[in-house]
Amino acid sequence: MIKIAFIILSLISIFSALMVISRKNPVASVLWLVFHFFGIAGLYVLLGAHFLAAVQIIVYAGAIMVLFLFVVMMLNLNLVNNEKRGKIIGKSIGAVVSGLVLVLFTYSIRTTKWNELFFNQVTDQEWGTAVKLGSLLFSNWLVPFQIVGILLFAAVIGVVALMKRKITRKVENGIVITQEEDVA
Amino acid sequence: MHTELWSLIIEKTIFGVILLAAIMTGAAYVTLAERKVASWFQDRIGPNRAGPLGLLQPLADGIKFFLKEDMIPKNVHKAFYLLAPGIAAIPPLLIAASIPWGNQIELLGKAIKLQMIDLNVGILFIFAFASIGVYGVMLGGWASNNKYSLMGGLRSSSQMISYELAQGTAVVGVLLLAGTLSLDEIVKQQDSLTKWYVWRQPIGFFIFFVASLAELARVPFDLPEAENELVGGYHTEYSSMKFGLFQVSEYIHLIVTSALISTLYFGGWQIPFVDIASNSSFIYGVLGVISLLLKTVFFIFVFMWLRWTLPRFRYDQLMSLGWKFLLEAAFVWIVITAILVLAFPWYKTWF
Amino acid sequence: MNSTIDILDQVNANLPTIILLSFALLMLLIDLFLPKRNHLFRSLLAIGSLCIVYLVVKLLLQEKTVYTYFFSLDSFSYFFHILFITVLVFTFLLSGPYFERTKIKFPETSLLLFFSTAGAMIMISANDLIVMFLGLELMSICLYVLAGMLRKRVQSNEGALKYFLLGAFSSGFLLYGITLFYGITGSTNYSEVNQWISQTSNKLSLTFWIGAGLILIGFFFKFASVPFHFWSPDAYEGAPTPITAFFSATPKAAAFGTFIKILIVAFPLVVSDFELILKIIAIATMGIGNFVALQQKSVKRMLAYSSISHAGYLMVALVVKSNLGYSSILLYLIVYSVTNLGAFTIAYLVNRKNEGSYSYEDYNGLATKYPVLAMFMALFMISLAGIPPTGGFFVKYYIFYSALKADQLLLAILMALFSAISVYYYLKVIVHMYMKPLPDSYETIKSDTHVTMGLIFSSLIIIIIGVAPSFWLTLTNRSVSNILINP
Repeated sequence: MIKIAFIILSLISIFSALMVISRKNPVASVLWLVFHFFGIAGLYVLLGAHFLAAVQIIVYAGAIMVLFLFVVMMLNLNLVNNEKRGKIIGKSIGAVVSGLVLVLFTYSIRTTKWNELFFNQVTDQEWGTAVKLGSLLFSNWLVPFQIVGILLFAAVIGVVALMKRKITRKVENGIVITQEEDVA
Repeated sequence: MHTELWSLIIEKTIFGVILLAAIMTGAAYVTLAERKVASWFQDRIGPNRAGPLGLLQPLADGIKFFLKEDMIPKNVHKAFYLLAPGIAAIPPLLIAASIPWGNQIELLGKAIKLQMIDLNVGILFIFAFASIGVYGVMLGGWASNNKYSLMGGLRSSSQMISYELAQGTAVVGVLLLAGTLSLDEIVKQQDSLTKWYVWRQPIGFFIFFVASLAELARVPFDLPEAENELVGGYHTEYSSMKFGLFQVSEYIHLIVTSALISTLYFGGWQIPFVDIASNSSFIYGVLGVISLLLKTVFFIFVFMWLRWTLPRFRYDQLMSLGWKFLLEAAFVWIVITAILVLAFPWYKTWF
Repeated sequence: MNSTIDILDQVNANLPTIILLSFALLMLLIDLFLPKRNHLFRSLLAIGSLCIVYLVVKLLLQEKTVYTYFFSLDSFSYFFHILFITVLVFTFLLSGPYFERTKIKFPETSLLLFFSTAGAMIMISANDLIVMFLGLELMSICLYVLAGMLRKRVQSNEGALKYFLLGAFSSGFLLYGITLFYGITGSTNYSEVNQWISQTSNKLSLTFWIGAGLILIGFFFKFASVPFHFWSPDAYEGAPTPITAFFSATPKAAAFGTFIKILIVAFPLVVSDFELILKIIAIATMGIGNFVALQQKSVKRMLAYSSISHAGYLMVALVVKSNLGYSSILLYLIVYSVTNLGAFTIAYLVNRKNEGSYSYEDYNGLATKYPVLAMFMALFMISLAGIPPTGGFFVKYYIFYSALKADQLLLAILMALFSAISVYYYLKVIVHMYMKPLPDSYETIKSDTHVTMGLIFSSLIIIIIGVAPSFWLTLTNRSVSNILINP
């Protein structure tokens, strides 16, 4: 039963990932990426990490991709033009190298001996729930958790620093003139 | 193992079909209720021609929608244009699936839970799909290839994502008291009138209520649909049943949000002086469902009441309210709740 | 494994970082109440950072060392903490006139600089790959934003975007490597990885090498080594010049320091397997850095390529996997950071028409009109070129010596060769300053006392290390040999 679910979810994830990179329309790419995240969230559920699956949808598919979609829609990009001559060589070399890397990775992942930590059955009933995760985050991993908070804070400050400006509007001869000025 | 699986599938399918039918009918009749309630506030008689007391009005509206010309404008992005109403309709239905509509009932010797999906991260699941609801609106606005639709879609979606933050943060107070994310557990903990979370979390309830109003894009936050501002907003270019689907999904969202408010703050399917949880006979189960439905209807009425009472907010006022006031108020409320829970043990084990 | 991790211990291990962050947030609050564009703020920042250096040194002298599962505070960490905060002090001292000129928002910039330094400090004191990654991201995200602060200038946007995209990719590689590692060894802690490797029953499978390779790629990007250096010249050129100075100092120092720590604590048994790849990349980096720098027409870009070549010299010392080599890297980092800070400062001072080109022609005849400034620039260029008796010469010699001692003859010879080539483009500046005539119309250079103080201090450090290096040598030796592994 779990095997069937795993196969379906993996196929969804891989297929939508391929669709993301091959669409001409950027909005289609974004939507396929959202679909891909649903597949990944399903895989998380199979691994028993329910909290992570829900948070993946809330944060990734529900907030970050919405912002992506905003940007793509605002930019109103034209569909990607066909690339002309000369790119075929580069693309084919890239395809060959990527294919080799894929073969290498697949071979290594199949033949490697993974650590036995991951083969033991998880006996803890609460593994993967919010309770267990929260208790770990706030006891052992407290300081790294706070560092993540500082990281997010830095990102917000960065955005404000980049976008802070003053917009003044004057009306001259019936024409509205908007002036943008960098605020110190 | 095999028969268990099949019985589970059959049970859930039947429950799902009943739930779906009930919600769709409910949404249809909420449209009628909207017009009737509007008429009461405006001192006139609402629709009363189609059937006794106008009760067949939704049927008439449905037939009208189906028979209207189904038109696709020429330069729209066809795939997204057709997809958008569908994407808008799915999240409210999924949220409906995870609300506990009643306690267990015993039917044919089996205990059937009146909750389609019982997750141990129930509330997170609900917020996940509330976030997904934004996509339908955005796609509808953008795919229509129309400046007004695009503006309406962007405004609408930015309003929704701003307020879902405050909505989620306000619920954390309830989670601190309940100690669990599962909706079923939260309802079971509110087993007497004094234990309803609304008494202990008044500000949290208020923030959640206001944020839900904005999520639903109802007055006073309905700028995205205001005809005199933006023509039709994101559904300008939609006709017939696609438009009908947008409307229906909005009303389903309304029903589901009211049910959610009742579940989180007002005891869900619990009846104040009756002990339902320990009794799983059919009658008590139905009583629980009716209790939840009454509370839901009450909140739907309150939402409609607000519609005809308050003027609407301007877009920038709306955004600054969401980001500069509600979100901060929710954070402060979490801190206060946390302090209360830690400092006063009676706060959690309320009498 | 994790059941008895003490939070108080972890806080103690992070004391310098916490002091820095508290100061940064305090400054943010104070900035609310100061009038705009106030010199007082900048002076406050510099003085405050200096106090932090003092506090950290005091902690060091009290021999307060802590080892926890995630962080460790030992002499290695102290060395880098003091280095980073000193770089910060210099950045604040030396950047005044530039921020006045370009009207960059100083409070936010300074806050991002603080956070970046804090990220670098976390990276160094981390004992765990995940925590190291957190510090790396904190440092990098602040730098992505800082690189793009000149919003109106296209080069700034381009540089920041390139840095951001390539940096995000390399973080992705690093993470994938960490994940594969975790899958094989069952832990991300440096000491536990080492324990796993040392158990001979554990075969080092292909995935282990792939994981290690990916982690190496992530670090090579941060070093700006060839072939991962393409972001570096554009990011350096586009960023505001004092930020470029900070760029060339802290992220490189943090990356090298972290890499050394990982090599010493996690990979001591497999380090000899990395030797070949490190050699190849070191040679390529030195070569390309120097050769391309020869052809640059812009001083800022030349300095960017020279940073790449210096990363190459540092990688030579990485190949020498002895404590001698590592301590030479630490010493090199001090001289290199301070010299670059000074050089970039003078570069923007001389670029008084504030155009993006930073051409050599601005330096014509500088010695006649501003002899002191010319002297500082000459000192910095000589130090970067590696000419005695400056600090730059001594640290290069030390790397050369350690390479010879470890029988890396080819590397040592190539390093000497490439250093000789580099003398050309460093001396070119001096030639322009001292031997070209003054142009007829020129503008005055506006500078202030803080800049002068900063330049004097940098020069003093360079000269002291060049003339009396033994104290510094024992310091770096002690730092490298006393990395706390497991109590």
